[in-house]
Amino acid sequence: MDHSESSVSAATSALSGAGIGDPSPPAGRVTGEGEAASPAIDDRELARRLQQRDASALASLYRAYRRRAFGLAYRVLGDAPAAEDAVHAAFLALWERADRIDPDGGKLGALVLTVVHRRAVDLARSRARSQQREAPRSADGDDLDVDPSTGIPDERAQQAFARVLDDEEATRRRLSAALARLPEAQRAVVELAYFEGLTHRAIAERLGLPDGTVKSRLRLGLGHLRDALKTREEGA
Amino acid sequence: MNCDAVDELLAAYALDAVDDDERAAIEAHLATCDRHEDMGELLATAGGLALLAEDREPSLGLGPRLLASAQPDETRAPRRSGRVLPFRWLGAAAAAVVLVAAGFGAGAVLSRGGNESLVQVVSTDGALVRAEATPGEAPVKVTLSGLRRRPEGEGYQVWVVRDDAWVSVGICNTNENGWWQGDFDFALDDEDLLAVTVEPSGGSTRPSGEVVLIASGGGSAD
Repeated sequence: MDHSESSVSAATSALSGAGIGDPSPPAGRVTGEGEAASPAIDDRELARRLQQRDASALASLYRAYRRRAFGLAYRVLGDAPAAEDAVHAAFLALWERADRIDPDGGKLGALVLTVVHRRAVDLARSRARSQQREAPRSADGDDLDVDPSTGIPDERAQQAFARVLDDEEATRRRLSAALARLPEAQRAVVELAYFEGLTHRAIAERLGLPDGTVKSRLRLGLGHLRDALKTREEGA
Repeated sequence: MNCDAVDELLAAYALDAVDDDERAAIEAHLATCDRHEDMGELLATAGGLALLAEDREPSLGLGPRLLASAQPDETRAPRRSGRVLPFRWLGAAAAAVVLVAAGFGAGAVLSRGGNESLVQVVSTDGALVRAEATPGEAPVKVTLSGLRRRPEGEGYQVWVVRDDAWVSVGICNTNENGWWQGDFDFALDDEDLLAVTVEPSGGSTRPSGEVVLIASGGGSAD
């Protein structure tokens, strides 16, 4: 039962830094808090560990991307419990199907968001179908009646998305501005598709438009957004 | 589905605005056709829209829920490295343990003791400590999960901290699934802290490595 005053002091500082007692900054190697608070994630290594069924890699992935994932799911679903179900399903799908992750596919965050969006959209549609038939839950009590193995895009898509996220802040600014510049008719269908999870047919029904018109507006709208991002890449 | 039909739906597909049948048909087509060169850019553009959603913090329970779901079906027998140092706390009573994990954000109690014997404590990112005990009695069965297995020459050392004194209660290492379980001969009370540090595999007489988890008895979870 050996301990020294110096180690106790350092350890106490570590506890303070962790939110216990006096909020003085942590001292010495004992804390480790600085590294953990802003993890520098090596995506390739993390992907490899996920494929080796290393649960701590899943914890790291979740820690790094939980806010963004939950924010996206919440935007699509509009309520926290459903959004958490979507995030849970998405991370679990990544864990269960880690063999489909391309370690060279670039940022894992891109993959996380792609899968989270798919799960959120699936859940939104499942919920809508349940409401339509006035049967809020499926027979097994699971209202997320989607195949948990789906939602991980192929390697080509993973790499393409990762390129866009190379400079997240620039992409966000460009897309936000480009979306605002879209003609209202195009912006509306893009937002209904991506942020409300509606299919092109559901959008047509909601807006009272021919389905062909909606598909055309989606093509034009997304094409304009793509061009806005390409302009950045070419100018870089 | 032919190329023209795929082109017509490609934007909707990129935005997740197709139904399951259409998605399957498009993906089957794309798997064998290289003509749709703009597919990657459209997917990337649509994916970039995710950045326009505002970041939000999920509830504290989501990380542990995820990690619990992701536990391997076959958990191996507890593995210990090094020795377990006996420790008995004077007048201690098993208590709820609230994780305030260093570097892991705030923690939460999933279920707390009272007269129950199971206490589970978690961090927001899924690292987990579970303590199972009969109140006031040793031993306490401790489970760690979500902690990466330490390489050769390193391990996790578990400490009880009270009144600035750190006392080693055992050394262990998680398995390749980030999991460990074992009994420690001690009981916690509300004022105790339970800490886990990274140390040389033989253990240290005082904490010298990274503090990966700190759990406090009772009290606040902040």
